[in-house]
Amino acid sequence: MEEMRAAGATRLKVLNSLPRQHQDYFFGEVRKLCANFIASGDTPIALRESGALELFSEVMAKLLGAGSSGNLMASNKDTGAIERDWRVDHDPSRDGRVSWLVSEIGGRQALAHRNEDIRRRLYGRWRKGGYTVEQLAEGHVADLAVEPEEPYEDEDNRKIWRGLLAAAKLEFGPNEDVSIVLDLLANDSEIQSAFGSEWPIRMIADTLNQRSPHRLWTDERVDNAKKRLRTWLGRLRREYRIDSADLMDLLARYARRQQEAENVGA
Amino acid sequence: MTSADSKQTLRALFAPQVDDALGRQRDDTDTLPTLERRVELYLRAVHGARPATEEQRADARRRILEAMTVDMAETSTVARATVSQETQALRKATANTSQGSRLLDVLRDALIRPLMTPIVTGGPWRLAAISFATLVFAGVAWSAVWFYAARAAESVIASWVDSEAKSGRAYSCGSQGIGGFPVRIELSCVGLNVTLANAAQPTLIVNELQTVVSPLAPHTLVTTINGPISVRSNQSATLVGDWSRARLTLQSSPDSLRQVSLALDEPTFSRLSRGSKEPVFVGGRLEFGAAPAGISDIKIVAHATGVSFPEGDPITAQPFLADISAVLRNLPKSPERLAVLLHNWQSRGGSLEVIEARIQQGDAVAMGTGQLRLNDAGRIEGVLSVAATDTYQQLARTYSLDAKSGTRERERIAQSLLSDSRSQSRSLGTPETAQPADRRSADERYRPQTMQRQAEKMEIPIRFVDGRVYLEFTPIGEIAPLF
Repeated sequence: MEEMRAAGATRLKVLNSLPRQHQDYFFGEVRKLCANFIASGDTPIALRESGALELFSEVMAKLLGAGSSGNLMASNKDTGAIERDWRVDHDPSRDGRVSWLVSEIGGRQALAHRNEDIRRRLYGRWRKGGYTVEQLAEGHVADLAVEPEEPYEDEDNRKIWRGLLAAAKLEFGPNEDVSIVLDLLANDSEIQSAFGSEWPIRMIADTLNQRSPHRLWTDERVDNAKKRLRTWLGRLRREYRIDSADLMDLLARYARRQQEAENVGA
Repeated sequence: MTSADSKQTLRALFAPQVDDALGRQRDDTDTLPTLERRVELYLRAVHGARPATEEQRADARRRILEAMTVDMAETSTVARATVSQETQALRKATANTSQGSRLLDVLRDALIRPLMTPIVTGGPWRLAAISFATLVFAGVAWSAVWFYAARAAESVIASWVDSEAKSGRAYSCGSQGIGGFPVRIELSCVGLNVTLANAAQPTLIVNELQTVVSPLAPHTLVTTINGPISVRSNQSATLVGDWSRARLTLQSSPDSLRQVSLALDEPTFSRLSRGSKEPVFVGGRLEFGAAPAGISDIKIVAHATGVSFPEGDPITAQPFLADISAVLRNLPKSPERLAVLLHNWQSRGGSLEVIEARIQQGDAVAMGTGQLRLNDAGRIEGVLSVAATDTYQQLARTYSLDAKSGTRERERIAQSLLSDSRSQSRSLGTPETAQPADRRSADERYRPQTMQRQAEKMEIPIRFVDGRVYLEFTPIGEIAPLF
């Protein structure tokens, strides 16, 4: 998985590093491959053009949504392996980087995956016998209808908290200090009201000591958890090269995605 | 918590740090484009060099953030969680199949050890002899495993047939066989005959069933159903069905059935009457799935593409797409005859909750949701609230006309549906020519919302009162008691 992610980041880096003429050529080639892919399937002729554009948009979004790997060794190893084979040429059709990108993005299997992503978005996840229809649940549609204009509205805040907690669960174990502190921050209104430009470290430690007397929480321990938490958030920002507002947006969307997955699983 | 406090805490958490800048210098992410740059690339790729509108830009940004969300969900952290779950599952499976594992361990050791033993300890003849003996042993052991698994599969099927017989359904094969050695187990049944205890009810005859199961994954049975099938009754008419491919998949856990799914490609069902064959149902593809959802509920999904009833109403004679997602609530556990089962289901307060049903023909869309149940007399009660677009609204109005005018009007609507579906480049929403190309892909994510808005134009309740069906207050049909 780490290597797959590194490969995704490498593709994006390569695309970003290409001259504009090469990029445009690459876009055109992938467009053609998408059209051929759709034409080779059972899509009615009348729907092929729009289907090809949908697929192409999906391919591009996937390519451009890649984040860098946290594992630098995997990332560098992957990049290095490709660099050795690259042939740089003024003619995009003979440029090794473009050829590699096209082969990575426009392969039949890759396009089939993107096509499946589109179907899943429309009909839900395939579960051996049918696409579970998840999109049309009332809550989901209502959710989609709300496009946050002001990122600090109540509902958005709740989504950000939910996304933050869900994403943190994947990064930290439930008994790790970071998880315990984050859970407290999300749910304790007194602690929240004590937040200013500085963290209420002492108050957090005292509250945690009251809640679980068998574990000793010191200022240093809370501060350490805070550092780990902020380091992780900083890493997320760097992995996607986004600012804090966009990271909050990302987490809110992640919360919605998790919620949809839970709704489907329920 | 107050929203202001919550916001303040989030701001403190997400505040940029000096470490961020340092991290940026020391890691490799500098060469990844910023979000703004990604948006520019997306716009240029999808819309070309022309300046993008604000709406297109917002769509592109949203789209990329969504892709990042997917990427985030697929990252190594998720992989670690998955690996952890898989490890746990593997441990559990290992514990459950300790005997099998021990046998595999023995086989592995027996196969690999001789090859790993240095030649100096014996000599080429000894190595060859050991290898040969190992291969023979492995072959015998695998054969034993295969035959054991084959007998186990036969036993499972036999017990299921017995339980079905108790429920009034008898299964018999004209000829049956077992094969697939050594890699898998194939059970075949040619001329399957399904008869019901009630002689007045029809008999089902299936040309051939082929069930495949791997000895290493005995809980997944994949059955290919080769047509044709025929339904015979006491009357002369016989229903015949055929398809290009039909596959039934059963997944079970040691305790229970986990999932059933059926997919039919190009199904055709025809009525045979006095030597003539009249197609009653044709389709591009049918998919059906069911899985337990809780203690006594079953979640069902179905998807049909390009299906039609050529002999039916002028509207249903035109191809349509249908999706349904529903939950059967409070199902009785014990297998019973269908009528008994339905009666028990009714007495337990069972219901069918239609979470979402959708029918689409060209640009016309109807979506329904609601709950149905049976009354004491076995008749359907309940309401489906249907939201429909213009065409289906017109269709609804035809039922308030007299029979002749209504039929004529429905034929006219069917013709318009047919021409719509030919002229539309998309099956949903706005015609392609009226829709900027750049909006299409982004709109896909909001397709349900768009449809919802379209469909909100008119709400039509379909009421079921003691088996009689009403389109709001206009009677349109009646359904016989189900028990």
